[in-house]
Amino acid sequence: MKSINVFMVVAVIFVLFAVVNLIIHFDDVIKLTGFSTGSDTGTANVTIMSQASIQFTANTIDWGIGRVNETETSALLVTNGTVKEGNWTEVSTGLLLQNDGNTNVSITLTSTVADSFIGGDAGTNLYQLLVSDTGAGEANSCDTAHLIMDTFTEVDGTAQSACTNFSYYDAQDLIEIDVLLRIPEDATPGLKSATLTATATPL
Amino acid sequence: MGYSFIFYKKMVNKEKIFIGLLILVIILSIGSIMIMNNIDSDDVSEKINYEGEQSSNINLGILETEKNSGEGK
Repeated sequence: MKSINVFMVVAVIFVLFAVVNLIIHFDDVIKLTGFSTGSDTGTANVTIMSQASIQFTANTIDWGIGRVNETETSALLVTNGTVKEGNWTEVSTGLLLQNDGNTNVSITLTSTVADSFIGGDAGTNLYQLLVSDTGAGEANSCDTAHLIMDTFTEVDGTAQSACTNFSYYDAQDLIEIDVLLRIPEDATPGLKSATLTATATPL
Repeated sequence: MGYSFIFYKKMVNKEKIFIGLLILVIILSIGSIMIMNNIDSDDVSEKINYEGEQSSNINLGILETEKNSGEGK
């Protein structure tokens, strides 16, 4: 067999293989390029990719330093301005979380349990969260049908669902996360700090 | 004799050109196969499914209660 014939056979095999490969990956090429089929109107298409993005516009709650009143067994601190049976500084606004992406998202909240954060008697200490789109939040950011943490809910150390449809529309993209702490009189003195992590998943 | 030599030379050149073209076709085929296999639409969907995560802090300081510290009445 002449070498030219060998080359011819090899070339045909490679071309056939390339065509088969193109057919196999045709869907990928269409997705990647946004190639449009069956149109004769000269339409220009643009695809805006969705991006999930959230940010805390108020990311710190600091009650300062205080103690449980002498005659009480515990003190109650809530970010609606409540400080009962203690002398901590009142905090009247919770954490504010904004959806600054371009897609609705679901939100989970994760933090440490009360025993680790506050300490003291395990039957007395409380670390609870409440999510709302009223008050400092923006109305309709998370409607009642999708608001899971609409009552004070004990933090259990896992990722807890807070809102299953957090809107990204302007003026409807801000939720408030209120915090409630009950500090037992036997909680170990010292500076206490908990990190609260919000995770957004695009819908 | 001279005429047939020129004819033979022309044939050889044509063969060389043809072989060159075949090699070019083979190289282009291999290139297209490699490019196609590197296209991965999953990369795009990964970006779409990006998860956002933000952290915040809750702080307070706890002093000894007066009855515990013996500073009470």
